[in-house]
Amino acid sequence: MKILVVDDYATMRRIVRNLLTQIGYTDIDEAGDGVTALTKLRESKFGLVISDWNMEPMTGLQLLKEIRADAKLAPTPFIMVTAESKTENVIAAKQAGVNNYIVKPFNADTLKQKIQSVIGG
Amino acid sequence: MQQISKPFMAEIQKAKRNGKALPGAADGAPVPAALASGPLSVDNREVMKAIGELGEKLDRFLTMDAQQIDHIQTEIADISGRIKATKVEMAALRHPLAGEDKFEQASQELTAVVSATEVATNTIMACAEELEEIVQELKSSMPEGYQADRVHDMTEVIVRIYEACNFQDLTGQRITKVVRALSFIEERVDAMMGVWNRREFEAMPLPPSVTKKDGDLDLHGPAPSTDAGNISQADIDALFG
Repeated sequence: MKILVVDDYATMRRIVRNLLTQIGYTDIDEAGDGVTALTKLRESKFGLVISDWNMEPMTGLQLLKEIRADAKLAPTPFIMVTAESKTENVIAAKQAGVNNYIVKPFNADTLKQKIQSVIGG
Repeated sequence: MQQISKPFMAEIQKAKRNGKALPGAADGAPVPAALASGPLSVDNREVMKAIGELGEKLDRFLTMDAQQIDHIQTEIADISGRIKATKVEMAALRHPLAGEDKFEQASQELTAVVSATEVATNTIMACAEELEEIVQELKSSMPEGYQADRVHDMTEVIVRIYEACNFQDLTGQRITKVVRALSFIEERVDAMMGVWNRREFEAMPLPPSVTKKDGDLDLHGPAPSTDAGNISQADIDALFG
């Protein structure tokens, strides 16, 4: 399964990539913002998107909405990994169709657990 | 009851206009029938009472007014003192003639913290990645047993290093919030100073420097060697020959 990691912080993408590798996922691609992520998603098939929320010019929530509005991309599982932990934010993400939500900081176990709950297995 | 027998001025004038005289008038002209029938009786108690009350009110007003004026003067002096003290504090925050901009300095320092932690985190990550490669090599070349288990434990430790590196993103976001808050406060201080004549602030005492001192020397703490007045380690080495 190919995973797209979207975060404007290169260090954070690196952390997520390394943790994913440790828990057994090695087919990973990265995007530094929502627009690049959308382009990559339209060019190649991904089994999961793990995205930060707070990014420019397109936020993680906007990216999620774009994905859900695109018939071809809509079924792609989406996990939000963010520092935003306000109830209204989590609800907004849920209403937009997020499959799971991880609040930073997180550990490898949490990441593994959320991925499994989203994609099964 | 006070009664008067003399006619009022209005009646005298009316009588004059009609070419008639009133009793007591110098010309001895005829008296109007209404007045001639007897002495005029007028009840002026209401008027006298009203005048009395007005006088009392005037006395009270004059007394109160003087007290209030004193009070208002005191209040104005107090407000004036507070405004002046506030201006001095505002000047201390952002003196037009101050060499150092405290807000800008603080923002730059915080931004430098974010950059430094990012560099440090990447170094830690690179080291952990290198360790991971070594561990993989060791694992593949070792027979199963205690030592292989310990090598496997090292992998778990490396994962914990990756997890701990989460801090960089969070501290970065928190510090960015602080920088934004500083920028907001700076704008508000500028706006408050804009309400007054900015030149007034120039005349105010310069704020004390927040830079730490050692005798006559300023201790600035960490700063990039590219900043004016700072030299690199290579330059220092050159100085010591």
